[in-house]
Amino acid sequence: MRNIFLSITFIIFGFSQIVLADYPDKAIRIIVPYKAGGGTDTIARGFAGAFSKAAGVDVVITNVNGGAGSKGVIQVQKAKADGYTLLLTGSTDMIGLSTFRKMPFKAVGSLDPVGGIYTTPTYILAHKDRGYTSLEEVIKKSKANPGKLTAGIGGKFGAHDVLANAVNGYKNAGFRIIAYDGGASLKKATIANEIDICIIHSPVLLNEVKAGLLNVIGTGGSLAKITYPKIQGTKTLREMGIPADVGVTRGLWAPKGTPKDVIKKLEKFIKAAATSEKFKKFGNNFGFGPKYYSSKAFLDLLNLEQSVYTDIKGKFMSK
Amino acid sequence: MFEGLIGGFANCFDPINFTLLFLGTFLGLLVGALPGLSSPMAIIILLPVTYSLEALPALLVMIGVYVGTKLGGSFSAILLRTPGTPASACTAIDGFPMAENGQASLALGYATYSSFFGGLTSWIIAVTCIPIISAVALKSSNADIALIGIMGLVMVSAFTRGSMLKGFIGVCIGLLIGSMGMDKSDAIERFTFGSLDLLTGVPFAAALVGLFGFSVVLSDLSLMKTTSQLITEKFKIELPSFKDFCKRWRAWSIGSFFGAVVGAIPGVGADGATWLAYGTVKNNSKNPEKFGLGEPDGVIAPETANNGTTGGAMVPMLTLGIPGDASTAIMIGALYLHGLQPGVTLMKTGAEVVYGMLAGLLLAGIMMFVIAMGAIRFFVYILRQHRSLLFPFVMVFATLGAYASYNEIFPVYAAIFLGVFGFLMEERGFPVVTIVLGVILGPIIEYNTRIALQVADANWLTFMDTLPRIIILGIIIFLVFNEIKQGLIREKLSKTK
Repeated sequence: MRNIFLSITFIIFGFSQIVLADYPDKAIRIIVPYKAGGGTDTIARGFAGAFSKAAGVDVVITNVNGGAGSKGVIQVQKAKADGYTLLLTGSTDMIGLSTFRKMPFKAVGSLDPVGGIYTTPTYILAHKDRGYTSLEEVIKKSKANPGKLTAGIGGKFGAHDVLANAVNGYKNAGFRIIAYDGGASLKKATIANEIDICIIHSPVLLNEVKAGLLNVIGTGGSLAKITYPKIQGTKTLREMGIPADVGVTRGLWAPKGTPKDVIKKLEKFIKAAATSEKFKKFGNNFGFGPKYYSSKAFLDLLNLEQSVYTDIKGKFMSK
Repeated sequence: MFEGLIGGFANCFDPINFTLLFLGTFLGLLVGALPGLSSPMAIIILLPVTYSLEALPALLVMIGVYVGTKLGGSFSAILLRTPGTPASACTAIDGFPMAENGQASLALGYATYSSFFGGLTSWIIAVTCIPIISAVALKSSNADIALIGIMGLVMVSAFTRGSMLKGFIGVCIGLLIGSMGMDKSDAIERFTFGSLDLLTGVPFAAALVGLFGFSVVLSDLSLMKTTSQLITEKFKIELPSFKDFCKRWRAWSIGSFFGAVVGAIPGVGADGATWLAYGTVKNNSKNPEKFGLGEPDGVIAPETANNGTTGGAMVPMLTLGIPGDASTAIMIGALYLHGLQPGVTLMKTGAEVVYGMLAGLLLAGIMMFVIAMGAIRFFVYILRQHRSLLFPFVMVFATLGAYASYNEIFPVYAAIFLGVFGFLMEERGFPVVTIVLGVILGPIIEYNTRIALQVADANWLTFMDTLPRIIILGIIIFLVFNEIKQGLIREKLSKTK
């Protein structure tokens, strides 16, 4: 009996080792919980080529854009934990959803982070015709005219909203926050000079900054890696006395329970892809040099961002 | 500028580029003609295939698909009343009755002429007036878009002549369906019933294939044992001549104008332009009562506007980096992936690709015309097949279209539900087109009105701030009073009878 048991164990164990040893032997599907053509989708597609090369198999991007970005996350949660279905989204997009909405998942803990690939802070822009050169200057003006100056954001309950509320809350700035229905509408309103300041993820609108149409007046994190030296030293919120780091790190997650060996292999592929020349080239063209985070570093970052969100929500956003 | 364009044409005539553009256009026509499938879906599937290509050939394939699907979508709207996109939904209003009257080939011919002509005129307008079109895209603020949306809704309320109340109820139901989900401004959940699926509202694709495609199949189930009623004995292959088309100059000139100008306005673009063109042509027609029953002008106006939006949407995408619709949004992503930087500097940094794309846009229109005119017989042949063969395909592709919109099963359920609902509504004399109109224009009007008011600090006078807004508002008021006047006259006439 003991022998039979041992044989079965051996067969199963041996078989699973063979399966793992072969991983990956078919296409890997990356789910992006937003529609095609947006920032996260473009980065995912830029990354897919390098990732495919590192993993040696095809990588297919699938846009699952229902439920305000939640359906894609849920699909990955429910997927077989075999390393063939992964999620690629922004850290603060996940955190925003689970902090401000009732979701059947948590940003930290419901999936296994397997690596961060691209970090960009949220920055603050103003049309050149407004004449603003620093955030402090606009805050001062807004304080003198509370509720008159407008701050455009790309959507409610995301990183942009958190940054706008942090500025309003910590500095008592009194901006009227206008939530547009995405980056494209906000971009248009900014170029058309319809709003006083625009809060958007860098490096969106960088070409317009380079062309002298827009000014960068503040940032939620360091712009040291942006491909325009002139604005690399832009003052961060912290340097202005606002204790908040706001940005987004696009990263990958695997379903809970994915075998450790598979996770290890994925980490290896992601690191190779994220630090590859191909992805660097894409990042530089996109406007921001990529930065790789190991799964451990990515998890730490998620925890940190979660605490910032919870803090700002508790202090200024829970009416 | 013109030197650049000549260079662009030279690049397009490179054998490989030319072949790719042709293949893209052909594929676009085919995908568009399949009920429920649309241009963004086809472009996104092709995107990985184009990675290995240079930037221009890759984008030319996409432009071919973009142009081809515009007309292809109208083919399925005319033949099967199952539009693949909100823009081609309008073509179904008169296109499908024409097909039912045995004039399927005529309707397809008019649609092909119109698409070609709309694309051509809007290309000329777009290329010669790049600064003006860019300015229209940039200067049209939320208040303008809201007013244009309301104008469209009021204009098309003329569809409901005869049963004003039922039409009005249809629009209201459409507006209610359109208001489901998280509102775009405050992220408040409305009519979601606690369902995560409904957070982003009812998917457009589900509404279209459900209210049109599924409900048509349901209402025609009684004809399952016969071949298509659309052809019967009356059927013959008859194509419109260029002369016939030219005679209807009013419809295509109005369509082209709306296509090029409204198409440039992000957020309302193609979806709004077709309805506005249709409404305007109908309101200016000597025989408005013929619309909805198979009037060629009712195919020509939305079709010229539909392809007319290609030029209007492409210019702001290339000059400002602002997408006019879902397809151009994906093309912006593709520009990044091919090492270009879309935005205000693209005309300088990627001039060769920009001019190549503009030249490709015109060539794709010509290719589309040639392929489509030749393919009409083939499409009509398909239509002649037995319904028991045809309907399963319609159902499969409509389901596929709904699924592919979110890569999720929920839109399929929504489409089936709306299909049954649409069928029941039609049976009771409520035109489903009014529901679709509410679903399409409702969210545009609501969102833009709210943003306009937020920007203007709740000052309603913002809707009268500029001359264009005053003009649009004037038209809206005129249309409303005209409708009331017409209604009173009809009432008086019916009393005297």
